[in-house]
Amino acid sequence: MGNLDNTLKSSIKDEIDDISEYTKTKAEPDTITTTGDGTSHSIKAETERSLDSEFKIENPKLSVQSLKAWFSGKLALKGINLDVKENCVTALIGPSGCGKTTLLRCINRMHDLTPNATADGKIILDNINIYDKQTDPVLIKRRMGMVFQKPNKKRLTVIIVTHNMQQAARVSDYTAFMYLGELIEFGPTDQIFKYPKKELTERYISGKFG
Amino acid sequence: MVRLLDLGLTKVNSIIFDMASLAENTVSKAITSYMDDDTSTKKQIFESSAKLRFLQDEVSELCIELIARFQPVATDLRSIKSCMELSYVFSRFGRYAYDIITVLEILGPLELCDKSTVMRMSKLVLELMGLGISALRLRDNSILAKIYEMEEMVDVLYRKSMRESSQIVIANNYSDIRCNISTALILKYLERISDHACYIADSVNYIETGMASPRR
Repeated sequence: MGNLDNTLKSSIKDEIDDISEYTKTKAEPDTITTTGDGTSHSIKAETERSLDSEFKIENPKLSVQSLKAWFSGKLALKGINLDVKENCVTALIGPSGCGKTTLLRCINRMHDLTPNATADGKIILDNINIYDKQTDPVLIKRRMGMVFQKPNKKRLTVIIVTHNMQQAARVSDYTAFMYLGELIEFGPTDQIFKYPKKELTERYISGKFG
Repeated sequence: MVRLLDLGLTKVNSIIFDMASLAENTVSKAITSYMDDDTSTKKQIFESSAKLRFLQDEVSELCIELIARFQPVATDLRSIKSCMELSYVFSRFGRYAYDIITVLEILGPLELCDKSTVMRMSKLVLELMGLGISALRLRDNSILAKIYEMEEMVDVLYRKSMRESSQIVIANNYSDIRCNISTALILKYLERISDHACYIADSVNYIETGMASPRR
């Protein structure tokens, strides 16, 4: 208790012990509150949200799993895992050369078209692995076109690649930050831009490098 | 890499630290004046309070400008939001200091009053303010628990003192009524100051971790 006089400190503590019921009743409203619409929620749960837990998308429209990609034997994507939520905009951000465009090209199977380019892993679109040998790449591209280019506006699932942080922050629902071929952080856009978990993400979106 | 935003953040932080020092000194002066029954400091305390209010507006303007021009994110954004809140906190400290000296002016002289309750609580509150400001300067959230614990102590003391104070009012005793009213008012201001000192701790925590604290 710093410089506080010890006698004063102990006498106050004694008084607190004597009238602990006051502190008890005071503490209760701090943990639970009721919102205007009558729903209750725990402030404690809200404020103690875990910053370490991995963010998960339930029932993703598209799921990238352990994806690796090479150009002439050089590893460009180092095992990407990313889920894309249906009817939402997901932004891929990161400095030049981090693998954003390669990832996007893998997703629509344009990566196959590049000489000496190879890929390994799974990309599941509506429960179909688009890299399955039995899957027709032409059909996949057509389906991607349906999803990405000619959507019913009410059912729009978009992945954008951008260097413009303000654009990503403005238009996307989810943001994935990539660096040197790895997915560093993924989450809801507001969380990524307000409370990034990783120091690298923080430095990149704050314009400290890139 | 130095960013233009950094220059603005440095300026805002500099004003915030100036406000912190001024607010701490102003509250301390008001308490000393009450203890010494000295109203001669009223003008000085009023001017400090007015300056804190002015600086609060300046911080708000600067913060809005930084948001508009640089679209800050992450820690930068949280710092800016916190600076706006902190400037309000320090402005309130000035206001409570002014309220304390005003009580003395209106109800004083209070030299015959028992001031021990107020002085005991003010010791705690001044240390609480100092800890909050220190946590802010050092961006040290390791002492936040201590700050919250002390704030609880202030609350307990406040409730206890108010109960006791209400039991010793002697009918038709003008002097005691003045003493009780002044004690009650100043205790309330001190209790509010301690709450605001916790907001400093909340801001430090928010800047460092992104965790919001429940309102008091």
